[in-house]
Amino acid sequence: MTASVTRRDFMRRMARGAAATAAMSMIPGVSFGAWEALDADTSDIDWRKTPCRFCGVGCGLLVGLAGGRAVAVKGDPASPVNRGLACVKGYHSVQALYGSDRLTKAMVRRNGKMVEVPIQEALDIVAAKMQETIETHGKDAVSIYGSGQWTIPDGYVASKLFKGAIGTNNVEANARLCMASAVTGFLTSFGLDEPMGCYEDIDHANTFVMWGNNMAEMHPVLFSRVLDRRLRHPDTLIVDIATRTTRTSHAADRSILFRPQTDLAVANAICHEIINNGWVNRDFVDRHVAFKAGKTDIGYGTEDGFAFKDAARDLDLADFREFLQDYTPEKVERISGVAADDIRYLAALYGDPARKVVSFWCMGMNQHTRGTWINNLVYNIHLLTGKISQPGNGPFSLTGQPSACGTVREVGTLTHKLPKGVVMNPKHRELAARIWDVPVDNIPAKPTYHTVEMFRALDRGDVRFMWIQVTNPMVTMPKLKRYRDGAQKEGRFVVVSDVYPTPTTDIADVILPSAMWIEREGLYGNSERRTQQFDQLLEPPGEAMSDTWQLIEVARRLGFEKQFPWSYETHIRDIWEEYRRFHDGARHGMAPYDVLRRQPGVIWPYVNGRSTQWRYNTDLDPAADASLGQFDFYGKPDHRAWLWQRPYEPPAESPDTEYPFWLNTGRVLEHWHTGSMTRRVPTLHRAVPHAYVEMHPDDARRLGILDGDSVRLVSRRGRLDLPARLDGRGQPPTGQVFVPFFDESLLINELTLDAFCPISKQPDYKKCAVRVERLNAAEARDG
Amino acid sequence: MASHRGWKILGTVMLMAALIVVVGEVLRAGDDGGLRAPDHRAPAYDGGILAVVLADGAALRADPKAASLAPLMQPASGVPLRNLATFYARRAYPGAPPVVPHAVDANINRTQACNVCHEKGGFTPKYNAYVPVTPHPQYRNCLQCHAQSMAVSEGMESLADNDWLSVRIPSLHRPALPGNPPPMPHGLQLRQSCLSCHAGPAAVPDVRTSHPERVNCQQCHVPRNTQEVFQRGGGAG
Repeated sequence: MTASVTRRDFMRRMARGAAATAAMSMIPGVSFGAWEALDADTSDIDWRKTPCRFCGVGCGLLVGLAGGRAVAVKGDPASPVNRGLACVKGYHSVQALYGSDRLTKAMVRRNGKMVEVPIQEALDIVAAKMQETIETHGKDAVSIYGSGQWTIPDGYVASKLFKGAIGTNNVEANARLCMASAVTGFLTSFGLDEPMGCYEDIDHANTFVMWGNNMAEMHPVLFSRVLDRRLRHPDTLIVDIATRTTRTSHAADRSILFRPQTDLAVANAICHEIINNGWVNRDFVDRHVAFKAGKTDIGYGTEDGFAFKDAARDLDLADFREFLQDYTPEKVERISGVAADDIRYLAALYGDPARKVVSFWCMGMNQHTRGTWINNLVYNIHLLTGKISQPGNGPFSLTGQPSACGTVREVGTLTHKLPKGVVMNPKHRELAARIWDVPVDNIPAKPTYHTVEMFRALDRGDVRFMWIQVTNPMVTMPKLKRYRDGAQKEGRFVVVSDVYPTPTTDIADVILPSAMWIEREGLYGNSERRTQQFDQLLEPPGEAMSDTWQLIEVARRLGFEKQFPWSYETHIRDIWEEYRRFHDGARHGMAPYDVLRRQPGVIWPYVNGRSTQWRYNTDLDPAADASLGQFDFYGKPDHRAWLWQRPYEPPAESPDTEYPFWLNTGRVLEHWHTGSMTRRVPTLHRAVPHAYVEMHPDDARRLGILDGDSVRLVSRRGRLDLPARLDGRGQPPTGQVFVPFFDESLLINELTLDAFCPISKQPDYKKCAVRVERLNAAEARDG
Repeated sequence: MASHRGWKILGTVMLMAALIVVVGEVLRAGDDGGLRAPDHRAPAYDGGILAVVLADGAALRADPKAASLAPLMQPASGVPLRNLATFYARRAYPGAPPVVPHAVDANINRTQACNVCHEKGGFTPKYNAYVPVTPHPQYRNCLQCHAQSMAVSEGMESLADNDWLSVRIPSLHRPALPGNPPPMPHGLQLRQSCLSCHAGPAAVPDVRTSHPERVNCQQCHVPRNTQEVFQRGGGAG
């Protein structure tokens, strides 16, 4: 590996490459290419494989290397995920390595000012502060907050250090904010996390239902696969059911809008129609489904210390049918605004035996105060019709982050989780203690704080030390002000590992510069259970160090050399091989490191040298027991999938006369989450240089707002002034506004509400109430 | 800004037109050593090897002979042609998806009906330009890869500059033998339809082929996938 190359080196190289440049300068004022050119040609490029750094689709990329730098990107034609295509973020991903303000030195706050220190000194300070906090305030006063962008080894060593070595369950990750409802949805319905199918479902299906999922922008490569399927098979239908009109709606064959939160009622009405029309797959339901009801009126978690525990009660199909009498299409039309005929249309698509249906969803269903419920309800539709666990038939919960599945869900970097199972289960604790080489008593049997509660604990002073890696909570926490103020209180110590300055590094006491993506070796796991390995392809800048190695350095300083013994050269492979022991067996077997290095990813369970693409189907899944028939839902003790009766309940906050608009928040195609990387990439920044508020033109006209006017949004939590966008890529219906959250100077989370799903503890970023005010020029200027 | 660039391009074209007089004789002297194309082939490119030079952006400027050909491809109406500068100004590196250089209005943003113009090409009065033809019309989520490019106003600057570097733009190397078809200087992924960029009125003159009617380009022009020479017993890795 070439040492990192300074800018001056490049200027020198450019001089050597002067022949071509001289030729180009024959026409004055015209330069060729918006970049400075290395002394290298396209044929000098060395193409190396890696999964993309950004979303949960997990595209295989080929990164072009020349002169010790990443110089180009193309989609990896060998990757079954994207087959050579990428999206604009992927194509420009390597430019995110080269923002001029990369963090290259550690920094420590001294007398209120951040000063540069050698990274080894900063790691000493982190370890000493952790030790001191544990001695003064107890183990549960130290915490780590990671990310679905953690590589698998990052999350694994974090869990091992905190849960195993130190002995606190204060381990959480930002995936709580994006995937927790998907997890609890899977666990309650199937007993095991993650989708039963895979992306290849797209190549077998002829019906796609997008539930609140703007896939055209958020999972563009998969959406292109869906469009390609329709192009080749014109009987294919795409139906978009959402609260806002998007590019996905326009590409769909049918776009159906529902009022926020009423997807619960719509899903129940679809089940009502399926049962009423005799479209239930009786054989499947009799053999493979159990009917359950849980608690109702379950709250919203807006108060500190909120607790909820669901309990299942047995039902049968007749009980369920009785319950659904409240969800006739006509009744649901009144709640949801969806025409009864549209509900019947959707039910007919699911009910038609000739249609192979894939349902896709992501944040719309997960960031929902009844997120677990709506996940359950869409499973119910697939279970009633038996359209599950077969090529082309299945519910598919998409992930947002490159390793939300691989790291947060599979390694289990959540307070209640272990790499296999949960902390509450003594057998799972024993297994973890054995593999980790720690006393079993070290691992506490009780979960501590989920993400929102962990930041509340930091505010209250129950948590005193927080180490934040690869995430930017000072942009992403809902009801942001409380958590920002809390993190800066006297006696709190915040360590932030990141690659660029962010609003979160602004509040840090120690900043550790991280090696990013292909500057280190690692693994990600995508939405379809595909684990993908990448080599270190570049030198990290300055003293930047991988998050894995930062954690190992601190663990050793805390006296855990025995548990963290690996050499730098082989530590990623060694960690993987240790972690893999947790998942041994046909239900979750992981591929050996060497296999992963050779292939563009492997789908687990990896059994007898093969990926398992469809779980629970006894023809296709070696873990499934064929004596039970075509399917074996082995995640549940009764080997059945559980169909949950869940009612419609209103959201935590709805528009009223004082705050008459729904506020919906989300992402745009060009920016990754909080924009800390993509806003430093010229092409992506120029595409969407700032946040804005999308409004319906009728609302704008009524309020005298023109496109581009400054508008003030006010909620019970805060206010924000930003420009109106009336003719943008998305259009909310009347009575709703939409704001993307990527812009650190226009923080929409000052306004959002920290209500969450009581089962998953995932906040709802899609629904709160705001007022919209037009600003005159003076107000806009003065803010 | 746009019109300023237009004048610059027009100036460039006029400069090239002047050069044709000077170098025309040299061309006819036939000292390029290449094979001659039959006279009836229009436009009147002057021979096989010349097409090599023609397709070489850098060589175009290094070799005034080649520059003489640009005016021959100027459309009669005086519509500005794309040149290599505008071509690469829209890309972050060779092979990067170009940005959309025109406004992405509400309709384009939502319907993504880009193929209405970009599948077949032709002249568009709306932008007074020949429409570049996409080499991959089968992909329909166009804005997935081709971002709009907004003018960034004051106060909305990027969070930081970017120290990005890439490789030189592709250029043709001399063919193995005089008159041989040159190998392709770039990969073909998403760009298998050669004629969409190398022929037609929207094609950058510097990279146009002299013989678009032959169509089956890869019969003669092959990708150059490695710098290595063949060695017996050499492994694939």
